[in-house]
Amino acid sequence: MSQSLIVFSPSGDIHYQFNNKVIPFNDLIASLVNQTATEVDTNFFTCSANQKRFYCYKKNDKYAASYFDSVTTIDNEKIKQTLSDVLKTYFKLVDDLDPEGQIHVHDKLKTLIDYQFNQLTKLQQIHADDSGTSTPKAVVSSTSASKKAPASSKKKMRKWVDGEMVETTDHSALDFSTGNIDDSFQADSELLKVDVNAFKKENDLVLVNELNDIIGTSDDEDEDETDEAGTKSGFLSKFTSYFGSSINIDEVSKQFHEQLISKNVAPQTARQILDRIKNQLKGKSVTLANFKKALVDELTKTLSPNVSTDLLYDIKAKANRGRPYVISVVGVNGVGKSTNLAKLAYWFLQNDLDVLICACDTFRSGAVEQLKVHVNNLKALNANMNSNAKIDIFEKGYGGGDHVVATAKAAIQYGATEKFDVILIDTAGRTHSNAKLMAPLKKFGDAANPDKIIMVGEALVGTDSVEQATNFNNAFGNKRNLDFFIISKVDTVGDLMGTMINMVMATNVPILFMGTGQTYTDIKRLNVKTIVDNLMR
Amino acid sequence: MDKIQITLLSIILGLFSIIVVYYIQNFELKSTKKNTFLIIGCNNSGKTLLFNKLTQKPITSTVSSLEANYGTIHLPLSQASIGKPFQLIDYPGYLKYENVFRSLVSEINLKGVIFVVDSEISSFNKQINLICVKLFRMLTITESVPNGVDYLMAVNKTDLFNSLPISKIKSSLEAEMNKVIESELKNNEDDLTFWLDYMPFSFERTNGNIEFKTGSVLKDKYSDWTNWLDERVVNP
Repeated sequence: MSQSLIVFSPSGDIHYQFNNKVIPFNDLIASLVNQTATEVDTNFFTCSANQKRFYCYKKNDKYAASYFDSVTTIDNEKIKQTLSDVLKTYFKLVDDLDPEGQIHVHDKLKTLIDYQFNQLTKLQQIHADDSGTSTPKAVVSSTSASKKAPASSKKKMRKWVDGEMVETTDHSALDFSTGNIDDSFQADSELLKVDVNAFKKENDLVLVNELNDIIGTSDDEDEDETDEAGTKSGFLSKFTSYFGSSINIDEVSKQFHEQLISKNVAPQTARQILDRIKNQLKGKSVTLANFKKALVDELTKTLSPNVSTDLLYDIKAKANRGRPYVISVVGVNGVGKSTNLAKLAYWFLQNDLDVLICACDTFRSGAVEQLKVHVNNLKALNANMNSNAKIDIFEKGYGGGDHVVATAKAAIQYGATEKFDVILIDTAGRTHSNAKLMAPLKKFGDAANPDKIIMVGEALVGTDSVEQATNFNNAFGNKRNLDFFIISKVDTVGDLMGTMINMVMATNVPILFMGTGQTYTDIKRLNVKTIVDNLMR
Repeated sequence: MDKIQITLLSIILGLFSIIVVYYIQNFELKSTKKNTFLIIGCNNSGKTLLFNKLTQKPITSTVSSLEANYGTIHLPLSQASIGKPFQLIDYPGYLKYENVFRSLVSEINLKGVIFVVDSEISSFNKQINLICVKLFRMLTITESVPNGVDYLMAVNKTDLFNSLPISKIKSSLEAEMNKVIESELKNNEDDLTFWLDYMPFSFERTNGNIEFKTGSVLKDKYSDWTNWLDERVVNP
């Protein structure tokens, strides 16, 4: 059983630690940075990593975080309450800090926070008891049982009353011999127990009182703060905001909300982003420039990949394992899977990698032929370039059911014996909302086990992109996710690039390339800065 | 006053007010180009602890930083009382922040980069690619400046028994840099052709000076690094 609690600031300094188990919290912070942690409530995050369940509560630029073994089940609400109380305690005591009493305050902080955390872990113990896994309760119940046992096991007395035999449980009348000493002894020990409890309780009571004081007072302070922030608005503030003084956040965020939506960002995504910024800037005086910078930074961070997107490096690093590097391409019908697959193939050829294209779209008529045309074109281009790399197609015609999986497996085997570097698997386009069509993806993913799964999404689609990305991301089961996006048809949307934000926000999957035209060279790496500039214009 | 005088006066007033507004709006931007030293590197290499020690903040144990740390140091450290103030920024090692980081670099006047490297053998081997990618990106920015920017490769954690020697670290980084440059040149359309002049890569070929110095922040053995800072200020 391991658990811990820390209070830290974004700078990385730990202000309070419950015990010395600090290193696991780096996992939590990584997931906060990469935005993979789920936000249960405003400022309350949870995530799990390495068999641990993390909880984190943020307030006034300080974080309180704790973790438990992932098997334990505690109410989220309870944990949130405790963490927020811990932070309140921390703020209260540190604000009152005077240089003389520093050590004293530190001790007090320790006792108070430890008490709160212990209360929480106790709660967890009780939960564990309820499910009957631990021993303490068994001990308790056995003692209480032993007290009751003598009474119930005794024979029932029979009395003659008015010529009838009556059973009675009132045995004390005749029972002179047993238990007197025993009883008194038991009573004594009970008294002793109560005494200890009372002592403990009294000690706790002091703590609880103190805590209540702290939590009660700081609640009031909170309300004051929000009142103050709410009053500033009107004509004058609008006017002064032009000269760089503070602004009304709600009004400005509404304005930016509209702008983002006009750039094809889904409404719920736009709200999510702006809520994050509002949260960030809460309690500070905000100028228009500040707000804009925060938004630019947030959009930039969202689009920036959290993993290496150097595909060539990865392919080289995995070259010596006797299996080609398998990439499969998925997506909705007509988004340009085959076209972008051909572009990728061309890019690999240029970098001296042997490419095998596998036609696993065994459903749509003409899909295999289409790929054959691409491969023939690429062969011709390749011959002109005098490169050593080769390209070929692997196909087994059309068919339903297990045909797709069989084709993919055969292609990988063929690729391994013929020493291809990369296998690109084309799949049939499918509607993301049709479960019957999405289900085979899992089977395909398990069988082919691609090194990278790339989803092609078109920039044209609007609000639906969120759902598309999410459904495809979940289609491969809970152990496998999409690795990259390729956003196609970017040349057709001008500066309405919101789709990218939608898809990345919904899934945390980075964008690898953008398709920007019809020829094989029209594939560009994502330039985050230009896209953010476009969205802000 | 006749009409001509009034119109002239109003025109002058209007111009004046426009200039004042322009000045106010740009005031903040201009004043932020401070002389800055950067501390960068991978996660958990010891950046924040070094930052805390250099800026004389109270020493606590640390977790990964979520945000950059900004501080001021007076250099040269040997004569801090008469030193000039410099900004010191400790930037977290997450890849997610790379693009935001780039815009930050354009807003400062960079005097030097302290690149902290974890010399513990297992984490070094794990991070070697990431170190080189970061170094590549940073050098791409700084080498475009005439004469480049000086780097200190701060080889940290030498107090650990399984820490790699400096020569080993240098040679493996050079080998890895070659691979990274090669694949980055293929990946990017941006103008990176100046990297071709540096091939095969070695740390002596860059315009900016790149020095390797060992130390251990935890054990307070980083005088080589502070000396490096002082040198940058005394003989720029």
